[in-house]
Amino acid sequence: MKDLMKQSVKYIIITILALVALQACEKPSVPQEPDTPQQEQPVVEPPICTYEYDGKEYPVYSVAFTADETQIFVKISPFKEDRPQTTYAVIGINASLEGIEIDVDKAWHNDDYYFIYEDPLMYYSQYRQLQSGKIMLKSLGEGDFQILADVVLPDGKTFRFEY
Amino acid sequence: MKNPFSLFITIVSAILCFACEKPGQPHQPVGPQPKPDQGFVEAVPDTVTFTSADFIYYGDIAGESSSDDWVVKLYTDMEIDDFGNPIGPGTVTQLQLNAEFDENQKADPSKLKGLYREMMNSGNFAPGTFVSGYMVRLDLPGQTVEMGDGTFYADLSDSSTEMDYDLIDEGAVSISLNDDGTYTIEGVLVGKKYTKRYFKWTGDIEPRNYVPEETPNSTLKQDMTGLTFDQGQLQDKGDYFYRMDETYRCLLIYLGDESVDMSGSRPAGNGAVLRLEVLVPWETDIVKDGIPSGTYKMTDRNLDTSIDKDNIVPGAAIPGLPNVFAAWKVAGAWYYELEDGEWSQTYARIDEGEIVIDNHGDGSYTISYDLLDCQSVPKKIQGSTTLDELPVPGKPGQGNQDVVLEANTYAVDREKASFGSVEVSNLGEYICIAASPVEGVENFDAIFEQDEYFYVAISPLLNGKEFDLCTEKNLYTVMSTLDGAFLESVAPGMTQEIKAGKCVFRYQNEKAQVEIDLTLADGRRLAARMEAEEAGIVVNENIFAIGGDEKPVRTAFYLKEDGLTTLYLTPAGIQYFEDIPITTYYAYIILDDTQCNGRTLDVNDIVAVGYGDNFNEIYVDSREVTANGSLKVLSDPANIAHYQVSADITFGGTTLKLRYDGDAIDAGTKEVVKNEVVYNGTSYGITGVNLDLKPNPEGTCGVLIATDRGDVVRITLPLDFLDGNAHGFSQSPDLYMEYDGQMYSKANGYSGTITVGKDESTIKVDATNYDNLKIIYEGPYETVS
Repeated sequence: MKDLMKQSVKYIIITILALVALQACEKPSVPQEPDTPQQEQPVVEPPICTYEYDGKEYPVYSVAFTADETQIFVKISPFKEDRPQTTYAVIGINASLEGIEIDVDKAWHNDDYYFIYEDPLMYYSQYRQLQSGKIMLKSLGEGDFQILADVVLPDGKTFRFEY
Repeated sequence: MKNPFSLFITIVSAILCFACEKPGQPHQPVGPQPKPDQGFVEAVPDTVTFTSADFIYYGDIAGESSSDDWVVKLYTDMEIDDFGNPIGPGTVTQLQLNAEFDENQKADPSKLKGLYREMMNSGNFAPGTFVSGYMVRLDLPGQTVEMGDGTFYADLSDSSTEMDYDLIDEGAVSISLNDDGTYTIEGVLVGKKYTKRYFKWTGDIEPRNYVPEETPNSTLKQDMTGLTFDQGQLQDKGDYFYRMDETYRCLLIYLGDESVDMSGSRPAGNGAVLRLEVLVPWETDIVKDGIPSGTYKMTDRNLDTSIDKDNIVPGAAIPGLPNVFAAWKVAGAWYYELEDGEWSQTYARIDEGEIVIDNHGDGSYTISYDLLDCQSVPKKIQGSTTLDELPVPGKPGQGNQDVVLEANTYAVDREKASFGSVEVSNLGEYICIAASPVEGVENFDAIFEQDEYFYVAISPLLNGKEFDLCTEKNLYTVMSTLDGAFLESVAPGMTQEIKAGKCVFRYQNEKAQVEIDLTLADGRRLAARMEAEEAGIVVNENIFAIGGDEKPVRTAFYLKEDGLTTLYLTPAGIQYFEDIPITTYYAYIILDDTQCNGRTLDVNDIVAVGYGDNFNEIYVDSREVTANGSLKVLSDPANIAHYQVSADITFGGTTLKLRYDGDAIDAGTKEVVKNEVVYNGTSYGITGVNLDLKPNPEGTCGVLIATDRGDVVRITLPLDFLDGNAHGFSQSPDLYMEYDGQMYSKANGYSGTITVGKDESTIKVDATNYDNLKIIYEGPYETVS
């Protein structure tokens, strides 16, 4: 029933918060501050992969994958795990939809799929419904996974990540 | 009902607490250097520094004694125009904060200190939260203005006072006291534009206290015992509570001191007055029988001041109506003392007790009263009065106007005349009566072809209620071309043609009765009394009210699933359950099938009651907020779609009132969409639809709908409205419909909602001007570009 589903959304959101918090020890429900600049010299390493936000490409230096019986989540950031991840994205799905291409236009937000994006200027919390797009997430075992997220954010900007 | 997820929340919350450092108050971004990291450079945001601030303290508006409402407005340095509006360029932020509760309701800035986050839901006013932003619509003469409220951020462009709102619903705000006694407000907020708003202000807080002074309902300082009066008056109010079943009659008794002037329908002059209302059998003739002897006990008023139908029975006395002091609106039992016809500072609303009437049978009475006022420590109003007579002014059952009118007569400045023709009709759901001095007018429409006519139309919500034309918000219209009393149009918000007016319009048992008394702007008086019989008038008596703002229920849906019944009620006239999310308001009740038996249920004994206010994006559910009250739902075994609903629920400080008796639409049944254009009540088929995407300077597109009538409806809309969402005419001047030589737009005074969505092969159109044109289409289309 829709009402019961709406009810459950709240608890699923809390689960996302807990999972994200366990991954990165941050609290994504409140927009984060940009970090104090470090005085060290940057060491440029090749990224693991890239993602696109608003038509521009950004490097991914950390990827975290979490799965349980009910949900699967991936968190990516252009910062390594040992740095405050003030820019990040979280993509998640209901475990029952693993490996299936989810059309977010037809799926239940915060039930079939989850999405968070934050940087120092913008914040699309888990409460914001995506406009459209597709998400596919599949566990390959031993922490490996395959993901495609090609979505349009609530304000029309695009986000794409494939790994 | 216990929440099965509460333990789950506790566990997850605990995980959060252990996993994270407790988030502190927001810090301002540190710059200016970009932050390097392995080839990624993160943007550094700007922080808006506000230079002036305004603090308004509204106190405990939720009435829960849990938090106080503060509104903080922060401004960058801007000039102010003659009306007090800031002139851009600049930025304004308004914060509506639920701060620590102050028992004394004083505007104490120190109570503002702390961290504020978004509210968990719209009914939770816990301290340390801010109210999400929302738009309010103000209906002003000739225009509708929309403006932000709650918490918002707004930019003003150069030389403009127009605000570009971002309605805030996430983030955090910190207010701290500095060592020098100033305060700092800073934070990061995010709204409907998803942009982080970093801001800071430092300065002194000089709040304004806007806590309204409550008018007490009783000012008695001590018991009033041994109270006797010298004279009295008796009035027959008939079916005052509009039960329409002839089971009771309401009698109004005034007892007054000798110095009180009892010659009119309301006591005047000087001295003490005891106002009492008792309910007697319907058959009582007060001229012949007077008041039946007996004991009349004060009945109960509900929290929303209504009285349950079951309590409106002979033998009951009516407690005073709270917070209503206007002379002609005062109702129920009151004690007051008059000074030159006005209430003095000594008065009391009576809430409890009993009245004993001893009718001696010869016109004389002994009336004893043992009553309590409404104060938390009630004061007694006690005594006994014996009167040789209890006069009945005017004619019983017809009100007590200064000018007593027979049926179908009117008076302009007390000069009486007769209506020769009176007709009753429905206009939409409105009930209308029209009268003309000319005899033999054949029908309702023909009345308006006469030189002189008088016209009153009311919303069904006003049926049977006496209302004040100057303050009533439910729709009514009064028009007059009667000689010496011309009224172009009097309606809610358009009362400049009258100084005062009251009206009671009753339609029951196929008979309409209207009594109206107006004081025109130039001081002349127009009173009229009309009666006519007309079968077939439809009265929608179903009520939907959030916070006391009553609207008719126009659509109901039911859904039966897994042993549960879900009922949805909405004031919107929709056909499809899927349209509930685009209605302005809706309410729902979820309960066990077996509970649909008409018995009174406590709200906490069913699965849920809730409502949605889509305009303000407020959603309240009894599973998430504290709810009090009761409801009754009756399902008709002989007609599965027929439901009777009565609910009075309070969520925090907001009341939800539902009354419904009628058929509901099965929400589980998928209706087949019929493609059609309905114009002036006639349905026309649709033979083709084109989408005109030819570029134009306005950035609009057109939807052309060809009908089997051989013509075309054109819908023009901004390109970004081609999104499948409902858009109102008020959202854009470029949103309008054209058909049969007429343009329907906001500028032309029409309301309307248009929804157009498309994919590669199909276009879906749902458009209405809420008057005479409606289009529904889902099917193939061709693009013209």
